[in-house]
Amino acid sequence: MSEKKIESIVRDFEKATVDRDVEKMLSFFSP
Amino acid sequence: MWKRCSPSFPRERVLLALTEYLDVDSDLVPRIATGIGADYSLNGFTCGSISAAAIAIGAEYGKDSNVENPQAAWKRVDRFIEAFKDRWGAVTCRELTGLDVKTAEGMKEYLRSVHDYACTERGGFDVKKAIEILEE
Repeated sequence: MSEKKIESIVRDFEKATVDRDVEKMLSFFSP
Repeated sequence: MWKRCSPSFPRERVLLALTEYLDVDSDLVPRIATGIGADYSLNGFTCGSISAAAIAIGAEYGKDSNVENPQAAWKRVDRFIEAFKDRWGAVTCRELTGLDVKTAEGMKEYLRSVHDYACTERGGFDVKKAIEILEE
């Protein structure tokens, strides 16, 4: 797989992971 | 549907990215990684993204019977862990973040200042390194 394709997978991962909505995440994950 | 949902922990996304790369289509993904989330269910153990990468490596190189040799998977996971340690200096959530996410305060701080930043960066590293190792 090309370096470019791997970088694209990594960017997609980062985009899907970053949320920025702390309150929403807290409502899911607060212990 | 799941793939568009948020929020999620990096380990789920690491597993989704790697199983998609491997063309693994299973209802077990990402649910198989739920228990390792928040670094083994809030306990601060091994970084969930490491575990997700190990599961993905096992999906490609794991055993299908008790007479098979596990070394193909073990050697790759070992290389992955070494690369992770070299890059980040530790392998446990507690050491990597300095937080106890089992407490409300620790989880809030994690979500406020770590999840979208250092953990996402580590997850990106994990995805890239795991693909490199899977391609060897």
